[in-house]
Amino acid sequence: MEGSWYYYKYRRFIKWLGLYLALAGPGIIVMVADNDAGGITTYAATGAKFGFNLIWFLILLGPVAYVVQEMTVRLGAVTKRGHAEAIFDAFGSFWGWFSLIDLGILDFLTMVTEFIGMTAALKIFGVPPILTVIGVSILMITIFMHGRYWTWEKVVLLFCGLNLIYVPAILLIHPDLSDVTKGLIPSIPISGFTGDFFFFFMANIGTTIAPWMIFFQQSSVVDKGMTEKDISFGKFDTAVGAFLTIVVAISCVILTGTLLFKPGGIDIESAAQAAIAIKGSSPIVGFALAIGLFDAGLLGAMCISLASSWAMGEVFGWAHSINNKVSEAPMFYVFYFLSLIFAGIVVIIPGAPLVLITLFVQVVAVTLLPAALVFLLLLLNNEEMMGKYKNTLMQNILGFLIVFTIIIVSTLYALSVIFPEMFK
Amino acid sequence: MSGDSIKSDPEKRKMIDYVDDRYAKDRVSYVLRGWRKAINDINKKYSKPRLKMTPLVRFSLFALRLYLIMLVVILSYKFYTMVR
Repeated sequence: MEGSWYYYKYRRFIKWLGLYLALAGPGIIVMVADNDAGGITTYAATGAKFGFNLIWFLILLGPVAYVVQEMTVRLGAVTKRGHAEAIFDAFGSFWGWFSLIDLGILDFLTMVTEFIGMTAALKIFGVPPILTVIGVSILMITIFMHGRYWTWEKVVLLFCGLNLIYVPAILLIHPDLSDVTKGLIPSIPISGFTGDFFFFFMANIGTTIAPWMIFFQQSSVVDKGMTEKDISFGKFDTAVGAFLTIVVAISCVILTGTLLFKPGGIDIESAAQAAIAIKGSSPIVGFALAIGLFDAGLLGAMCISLASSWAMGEVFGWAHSINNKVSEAPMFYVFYFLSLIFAGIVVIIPGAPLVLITLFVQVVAVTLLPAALVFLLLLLNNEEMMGKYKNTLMQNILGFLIVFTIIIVSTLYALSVIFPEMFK
Repeated sequence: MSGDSIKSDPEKRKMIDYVDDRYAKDRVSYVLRGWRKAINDINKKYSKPRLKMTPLVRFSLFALRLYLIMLVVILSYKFYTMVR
């Protein structure tokens, strides 16, 4: 009798899961894509440097990302406008152009870093960078040109699923559970509050919220046709995404914390370097890390290029929906293809300053992130625009606290990139 | 007169090149004019911010301007020290 009750519950759960997956996105996509190539590198380096010491901190970052992204769901569903268009409309053309141009530059540079991650990951399997760039470009264009938002979203969801590859990889390495549990308790490493620790602290916050995420989610809410009645689902979807993004981040830290960390910490320059180091002792896990890095870069590139194309379409008044065919929205597609192809070309140019580009992304990000976040909060407090969906007092307290902290920390992080000796 | 004979005549060739050049320049200026018009239209459409300029909004925008000026100063300083 009890067995059949469990079976009934199981069937109900499977039905619910199927229904959820049919409706899921864009919250889950933006959150999982937040763990892009740069994010995975940060987590891999964090685990190699501090072991499990910063797991508690990563858990805190989930709700932080949720609070910010949840606001974009409400704003998009109520105003039916993307973030770029909303900024133009609410704050005038000066702030509009500033945001649009900054977003374009930042997204392009970030796309280049995604290609760097993807080429480095596939190099481990012996694939030359030029083949990776061509293959990825063809794959992304094929997925994008299907002409239906729903199809695009479900294909991207599959890649989101692949991002969870780090979870089964953990099962293969048998980490010390008591050590992992200790990492859940807030503490700082034995070495104390050093410059290195502060740098990693800032880097992890820096990867939690990126400007493209705000623009992407608000535009995709509009493209998907979500309305006020879909807000609760959008919030749930974003919460699931926030949970998954933290699962991936923690899994990555556990992987490198178990296999690479030694007392005093090890410096890792990139996730690909971590994958190569791990491959020696545990080939399957090393390959899993490389596949995960490739997938993270691909997800990031898919979402980031779309964020810019949507923003340009909104402002210039071009047709800008994935539901449009190429002939119906030519400029939207041309912009998408060009940004994709140029970012790929930069990576394969011999002697291109890729390290400089990677560092420059952090600097450009702090010119846009504070503005995008402040605009988001101001828009969410506008009763005329938001009606009953405007921020409550509690949401404002949390929102202002989080936005203020992110601005301070990401600025310090950018300063540490500009002046590397600053926190040593 | 065949196409080959036109191409072999230097005077006519020069004229064809001139017309081609003018046509290309016209195309470029046409595209540029189109972009300029689009930008002007956008500027006109969003010339007045829709959001009411409450003290909070004014202060936030002022703080953002200060922040960006600070970043420009820091980056200029970095550039200056790098060049020096």
